[in-house]
Amino acid sequence: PQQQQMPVITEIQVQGNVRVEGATILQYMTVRAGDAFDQAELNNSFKRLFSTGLFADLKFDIQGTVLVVVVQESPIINRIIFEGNKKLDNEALTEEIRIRPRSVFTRAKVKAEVNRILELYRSKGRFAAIVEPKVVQQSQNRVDVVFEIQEGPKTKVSKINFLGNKIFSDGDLRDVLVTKESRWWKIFSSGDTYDPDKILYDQQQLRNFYLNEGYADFRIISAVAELVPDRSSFIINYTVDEGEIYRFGKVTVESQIRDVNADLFKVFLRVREGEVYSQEAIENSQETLTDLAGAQGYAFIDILPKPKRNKEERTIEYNFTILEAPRVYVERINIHGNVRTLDKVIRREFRLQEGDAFNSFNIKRSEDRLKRLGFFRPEGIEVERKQGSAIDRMEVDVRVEEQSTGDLNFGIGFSSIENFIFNFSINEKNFMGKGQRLGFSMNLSGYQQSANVSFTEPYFLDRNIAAGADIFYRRTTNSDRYASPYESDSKGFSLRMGAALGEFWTYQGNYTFRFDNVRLSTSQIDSCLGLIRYDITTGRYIDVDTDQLTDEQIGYLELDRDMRLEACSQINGSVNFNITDPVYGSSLGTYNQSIIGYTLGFDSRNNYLRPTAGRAFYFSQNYAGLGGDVKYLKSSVNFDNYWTPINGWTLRLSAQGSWIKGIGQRVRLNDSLFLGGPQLRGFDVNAVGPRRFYGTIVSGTASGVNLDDLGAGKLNLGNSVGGTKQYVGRAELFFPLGDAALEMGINASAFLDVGSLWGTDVRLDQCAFGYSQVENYLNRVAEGRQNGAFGEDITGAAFETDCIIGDNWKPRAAIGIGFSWQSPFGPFRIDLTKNLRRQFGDRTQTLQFNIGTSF
Amino acid sequence: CSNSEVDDTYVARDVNVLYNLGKEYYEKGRYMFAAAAFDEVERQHPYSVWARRAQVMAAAAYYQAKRYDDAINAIDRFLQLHPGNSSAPYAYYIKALCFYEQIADVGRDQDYTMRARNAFVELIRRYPDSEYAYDAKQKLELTDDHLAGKEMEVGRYYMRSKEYLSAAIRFRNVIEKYQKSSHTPEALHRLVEVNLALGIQPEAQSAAAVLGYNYNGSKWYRYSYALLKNKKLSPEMSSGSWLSKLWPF
Amino acid sequence: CGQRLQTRGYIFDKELADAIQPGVDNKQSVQATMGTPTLLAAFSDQTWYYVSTNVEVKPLFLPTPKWRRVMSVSFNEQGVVTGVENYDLSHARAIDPVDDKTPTKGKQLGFFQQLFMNVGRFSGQQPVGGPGGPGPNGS
Repeated sequence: PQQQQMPVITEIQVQGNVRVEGATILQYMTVRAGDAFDQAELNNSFKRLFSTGLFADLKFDIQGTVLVVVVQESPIINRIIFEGNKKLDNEALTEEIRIRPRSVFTRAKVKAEVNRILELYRSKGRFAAIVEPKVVQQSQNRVDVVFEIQEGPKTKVSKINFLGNKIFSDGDLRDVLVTKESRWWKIFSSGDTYDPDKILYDQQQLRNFYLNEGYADFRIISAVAELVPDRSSFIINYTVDEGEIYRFGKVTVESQIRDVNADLFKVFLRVREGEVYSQEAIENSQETLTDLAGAQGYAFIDILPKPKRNKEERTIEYNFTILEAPRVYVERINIHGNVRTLDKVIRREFRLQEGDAFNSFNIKRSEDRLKRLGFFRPEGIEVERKQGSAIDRMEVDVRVEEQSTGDLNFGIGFSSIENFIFNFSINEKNFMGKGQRLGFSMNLSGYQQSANVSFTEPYFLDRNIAAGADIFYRRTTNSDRYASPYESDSKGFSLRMGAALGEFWTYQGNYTFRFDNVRLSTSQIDSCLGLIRYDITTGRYIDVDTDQLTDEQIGYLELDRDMRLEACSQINGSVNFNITDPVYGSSLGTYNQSIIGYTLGFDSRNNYLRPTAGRAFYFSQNYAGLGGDVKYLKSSVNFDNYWTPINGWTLRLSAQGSWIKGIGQRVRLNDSLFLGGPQLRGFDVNAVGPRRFYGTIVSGTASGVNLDDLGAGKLNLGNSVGGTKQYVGRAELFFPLGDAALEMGINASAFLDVGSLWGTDVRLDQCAFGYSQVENYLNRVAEGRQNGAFGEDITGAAFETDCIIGDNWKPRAAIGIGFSWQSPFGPFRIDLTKNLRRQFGDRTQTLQFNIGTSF
Repeated sequence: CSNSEVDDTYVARDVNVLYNLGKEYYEKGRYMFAAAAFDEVERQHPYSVWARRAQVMAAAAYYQAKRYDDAINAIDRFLQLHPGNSSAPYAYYIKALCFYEQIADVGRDQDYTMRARNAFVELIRRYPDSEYAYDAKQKLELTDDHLAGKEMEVGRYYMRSKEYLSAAIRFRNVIEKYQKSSHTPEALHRLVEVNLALGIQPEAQSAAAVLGYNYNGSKWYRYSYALLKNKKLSPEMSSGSWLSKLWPF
Repeated sequence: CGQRLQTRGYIFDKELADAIQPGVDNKQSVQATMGTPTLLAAFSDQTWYYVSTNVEVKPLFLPTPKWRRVMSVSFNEQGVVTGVENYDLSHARAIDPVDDKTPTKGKQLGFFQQLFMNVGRFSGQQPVGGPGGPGPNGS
């Protein structure tokens, strides 16, 4: 209608509405009866009405002065049906989509739902899913919406390839990434599903890794994820340009604040000219400069590092400028998204408090600390600055996205030492949202079974003190393989409290109460008697025939010097074991230990699993005797140093020493120190150290005795009886095996292990003769000679001995080479050793290997 | 029982029968059945007057069955179609309650507390004299009390970590923004403690004076009084005309 | 090893702070030179406080204050500075916060709820009133 003199709308009629009330339609319109026919107003009302999505069609008719609104309502959704969905059930899909039965149907909404469903499948790692919406007309202007879904396989990441990396192996680079390659046995890990924003985060990780290793020119040329033809998995190809290693050039500090003298600050820089470039060193320098300036009252500053790259000499000159920052204070720190984690667990990680001067670097450090907690998705942490209640006030909004902080893993391994190894552990890092750690772990192996529950509060009394408690149960079983004729189990609890004294120094105090029970291995007793059986749980005896408890007891036991039962007799009445054996007698029985101790540590190693630089030093002392039956003082010291002069070649020098001193009593057997593989490679378990040499030889009987298999004659070399002093030294050189091995993740090392164990507390005197003298004597006996090695007349005489041999500090040593390989079944390690020096009776072992995998 | 199976049994039924069935289930406390029945009313008879009532009843049933998201969806759908309907106030009320029931304890994110608070404020603004406005006002006070509790929790944390200035800012926030909350007496006492630690005696004394004047019987005043006596100070307003600042109690 | 000096709260600029004169300065000039006060007096808006503490942050210990300056500036009705006082560390009093808490209304999260994080009824109250009016025969 053309523009006439503005007539007035006398009445507004609504036609065609069935479900939507007339009043509702009028309410959405801006035009009212009595207004003029203003075209703009009409358009406005038309737009508002249509935007409600309630109407499939809408018309404004003007009949004379009456405005007729003709509507055709959008259909109502009757039912929503999903077809073809197997992995995601209807419940999960219904929850995801917005439209519901009985809500209004529009094409746009359904299209949005299709994307929503595809997005859900993508988040579950199924990028190959296809969704087809179908609309079925029903009576009374209702429609059924059918989503036909083809889910397609779960898109895993089957392979991650790197091109252009010459210096670091594919294996090293894969460790840096969050996305992991999927392996058939990796049942629990969710790291192997393809997720685009994880790939983005990975690229950032890669860049940081190289920047911290000195490759300032590092560039990711491309990161392409290809879908395998059968759409079952993705292959991710990273092409990188590592560039050259850079070192720091001239480093200068400038200050734009009048009375801040830059030279003073220069001294505290963590960046030295000539050192290998590292971004971390830059950040650490920013931190020290910020703290230093803050301490002198200049809180409102920003430190701006400006690099100047010199391509030819491959050096980067750095200039740190101290700038004036606006005088703004943080008025309030708001924390959002912590549905499980308590507010204080996040707030205590902040380096600035409410009311303090705002400093952008402190905010960045606080963000880093939150990431290190591991309670939140690293990409999900956002720290936002908002204007406060005044121009010089600011609010900091922290939004976090929590992730599961529990982890469960179990592993199976096999090694030449402990044959099979099975371990299981379940840990929660953020117990009840309080930032506390609770864990249960269990280890079973042929030689030892142990279980441990541990709890740690990292901020005890709101201070930076980590206090914790453990409850443990440990059982070592007897088996000939491990040369320990007795079984022992110990259960108890320990309390610990420790803190970081500086960037690298730590101190921890601990108290342990242990209840030990060392007894003859049940198998020995049963075999001997055969009539009654010792039941370890009740501590009483069962008649083998009737399987009833019997009060017949074992009376006197005759043990050979290796605690092998020779004779046993049973008498009624309660008699405990009457064992007079000098070596084992004193160790059997049950006793409790109450031990207090401390550990002082320094650790600057750069990587926990495979360190290539840094030093570690630990010194600990434990005093058993705060009550309890056992009194001793045990101290140990440990050095570990790593150097990597040229990339790939790492030298490790480490030394360890410990000594234990009984106080007013002899050190019991299972408290004594034992030494052997794997600390001292090239030797069997507990194979090194003083041992018992006993037996009698009547001259003329042993012929051509070879000391190694002494068993033939009546002379026996017992197991190691442990010692009170011990040292081990190790020099190891890791060397690269060229690109092929690098590709397969194999690396090798050559090593020299040296060590010794001596000073046993056993009530037996030392053998008065040396190894060679015994051999010499035996040979003379075999040849029927007149006088023995010691000049005495040995005709017809018997050679009787029961003494400790091999009890001296002279080093045992072995050299060898070892290979470790990241096999598809987990880390595999093999060591080949050649023995250099050993003592009389030490059992060597040339090949040791272990393979272990964790799921 | 899952919704789909219930759907089929209620084939075309007369609206009154279906509606009453829903109401019956609702009274008997079998809320999921009630919700299904009301959904069915709306589905089979979208144009009857009871369809609108059923939408609200379905929301109420989902709320009782703790299916808060379903309840909120049902309400949003209802309000979009019938903003002016007579049951709208009840719908706003149920929606506010859905947030209210998901309020986390003071140590954690108060997102739902804020949403509940805004929903109650909107209900009171839109329908000041509806029968729900009274309960909404009370619940609004509870949400404010809860937000005050959060401020106190953070304030106490700062105090334990000896960050007294940050603690002062938080406790000041309580007595300014949540004056009528149950935490005000404690906030005042904490101000006495924190100002003493900061060495601002006049502030400590005036906080104690206001605490004494307004909450004479409360244990918090006893704590403050004892603390000040121990530091040889007395609770009195030292600056400004505090009578004019008397609180509207 | 590892102990650092940090400043909590306001950063004083000694010359500017000492230059504030009663009778000469007013609210605008104080705001201009020293910025917004750290704390306003709780019960009268005639006094402004600027609070600054230097704390030593050492491992194992809570931050221990080494230096403090609290500058209180009081004004008259017209907003002209009537008095300036300074308090320092000697005015601080050691306090032992009362170990008591006002209970928050509604239910604290029980042990198991926190463990499994299923947040049940906050207040446990039934909703007031019914859905607006009686059954089908009503309006």
